[in-house]
Amino acid sequence: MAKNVLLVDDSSTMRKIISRSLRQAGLEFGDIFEASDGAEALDVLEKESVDIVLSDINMPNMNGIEFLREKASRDAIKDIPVFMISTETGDDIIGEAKSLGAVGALKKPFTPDKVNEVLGPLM
Amino acid sequence: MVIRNRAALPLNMQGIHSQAYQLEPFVLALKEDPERHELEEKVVQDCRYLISTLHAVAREHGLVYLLYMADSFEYVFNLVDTGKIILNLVHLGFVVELCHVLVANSKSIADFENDAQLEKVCKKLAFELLRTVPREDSREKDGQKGQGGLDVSGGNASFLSEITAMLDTVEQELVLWDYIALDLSRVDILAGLFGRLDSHFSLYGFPEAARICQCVEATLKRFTQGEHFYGEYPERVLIRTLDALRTGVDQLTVWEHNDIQDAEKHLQAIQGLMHKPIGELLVQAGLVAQESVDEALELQKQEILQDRPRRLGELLIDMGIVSEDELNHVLGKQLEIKNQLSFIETESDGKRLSALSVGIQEEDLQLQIPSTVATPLFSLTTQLWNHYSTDSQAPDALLQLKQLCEKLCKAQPDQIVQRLKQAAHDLAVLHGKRIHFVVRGADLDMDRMVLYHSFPLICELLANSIEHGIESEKERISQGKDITGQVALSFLNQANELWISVEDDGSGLLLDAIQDVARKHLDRKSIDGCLASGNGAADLIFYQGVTTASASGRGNGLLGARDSVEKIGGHIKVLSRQGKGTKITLQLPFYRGKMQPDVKNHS
Repeated sequence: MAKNVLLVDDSSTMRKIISRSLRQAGLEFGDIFEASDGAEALDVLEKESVDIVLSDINMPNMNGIEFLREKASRDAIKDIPVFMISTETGDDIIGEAKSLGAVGALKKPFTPDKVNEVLGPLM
Repeated sequence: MVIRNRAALPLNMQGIHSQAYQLEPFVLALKEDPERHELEEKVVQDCRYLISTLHAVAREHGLVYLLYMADSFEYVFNLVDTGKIILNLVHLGFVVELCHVLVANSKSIADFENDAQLEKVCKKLAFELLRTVPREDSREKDGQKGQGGLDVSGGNASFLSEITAMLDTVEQELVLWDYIALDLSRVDILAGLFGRLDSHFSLYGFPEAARICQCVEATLKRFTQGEHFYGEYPERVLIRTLDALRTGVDQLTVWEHNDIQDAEKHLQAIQGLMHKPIGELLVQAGLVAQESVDEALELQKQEILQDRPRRLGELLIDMGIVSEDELNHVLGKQLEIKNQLSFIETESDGKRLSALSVGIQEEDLQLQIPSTVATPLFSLTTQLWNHYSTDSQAPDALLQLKQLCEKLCKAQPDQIVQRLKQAAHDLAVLHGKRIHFVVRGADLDMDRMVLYHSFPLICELLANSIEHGIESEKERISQGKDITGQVALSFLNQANELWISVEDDGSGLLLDAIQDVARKHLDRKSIDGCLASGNGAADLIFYQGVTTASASGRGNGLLGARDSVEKIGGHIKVLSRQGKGTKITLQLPFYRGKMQPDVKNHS
């Protein structure tokens, strides 16, 4: 069954670019939800049925790392996989994200091919 | 694509001319004797009428500078209407000047002449008029704090909606950046959009936002002129800038002293896109001392505080530290270095040729050399080559140069086709159509210049097919067609011509309706000429004024398409069957291996 995706990024333009890349990559997915920071993302996760989260790291209010930490503490949503999409490539920050449960990371900018290669197996 | 109905402009401007001409004596009379209240009523009424006409005409024809002027007069008259200010002699003086400008320039406006100079005049008038309005007044009366900023409730709603619409357009473009970056004319449009944003922001008193937009405009312009972006992710900077502008606009009511958050940071990021700042370059070139640059930067900061943002280069010239020639030289040098190209000069028959010689890397050939450099180079080399009657007479250096040019001009159809596929997909999503898009013959060894030249046209044809040709899913089902529309782009080598066709299985052209529309817009001779041509009535879609979107399902984006193809000695063939589909073929007269001596004229 097609998976529902949640995009978390503070830039609405960036969210549009990511969803366009998903379409171009030819991946099958269901609904796309959007959130502009970690706190909003948690709200969406509680209310909607989301199968995979693609999240930025640098965001106001609640950043990607805080989001992962908070999500891990909530039983109902802690098992939803989160994939980091960010310009941050520092090993430590990606490492920290992974230790908090992130299943992978994709560096911006990305091509549809790259999206397919990295996200394809998860979809 | 915005197509302005130029034909209507002279008539519209004539109307404005006579309105302004008639209004002026009344305004002068009222200025003489401000106590004549019956006159005041007439003047205000006529003024409002003139301004609203001006507004409508400016908007219809995309004459931005007239729009600013109309906007600012409208703003002032709205304040007068709501009793926030009282019409005074100074305002009347501005109205007289408005009439003067319109009477004196209506013809040049209609002819699109002196645009730049008129823009200056109109902007100045608009600026100075707005300056006469005490900004805080109305707000303090309402118990609101703050200086500057906008009274969003009143006359500025149009400013807000316009800015928001422009920012939305910018977003649409940026989402497709990887595609538009390939089409310099579209980047140019984006730059123009930022230019308009700049004028809007500065007109309404937001210097920082204006400066950021100005900076983006300049940066994009440099990109279209062949400079490269630094770093691998330029759109990120543009997206961040857009976000900042949006946040600023969203918070307009509290957007007072600090109109854009971290404006300086954004500015630096944008400037950083195009490698080194001009100050650094000048110091490096030994033309200017670091202290002078610092001094100019300091002055620049002060001027920003006084709402007079200026570029560093401009300031340095004004301060007498550097000459315009020196500045241009450094900028030109930078371009040269950046492109890693070295120039040689070859003497031939009294003609000098600046040409590329060495240093071109294989990867540089991959669509990175802009056609603005490659096309003239190709042309110059060909001219020179054609000078020798046999190949063996030509010097070795020229032969090498020719070979390099050929390499340079070899297309990378894969990438272009990939972009076109993306574009088709995006267009289909945008218009809610379901299509299957195929590309045939993309493996042809095509001439890059030809492809570049026709790229915008191919896009236009595709857009027409997807937007207007292919019916909605519902319509297709009711007509018994497959729910998915077929759109095909094919490249074909036909006897030393390159044929590019775009074909769809959509609704086809409604030729009768097209003829009807054409009769209203064209003279008999043109129509007869078309009907006698190979394409018949279908040819009419390439004419100005024949907007057939509603009648037949074609927009008028094809205006000028035929001219541009015929200018390079090609033809357009249109085949259309109502209800079955349309096929438009560009027959372009060159094909790789055959160098055309006058390629220069093609661009």
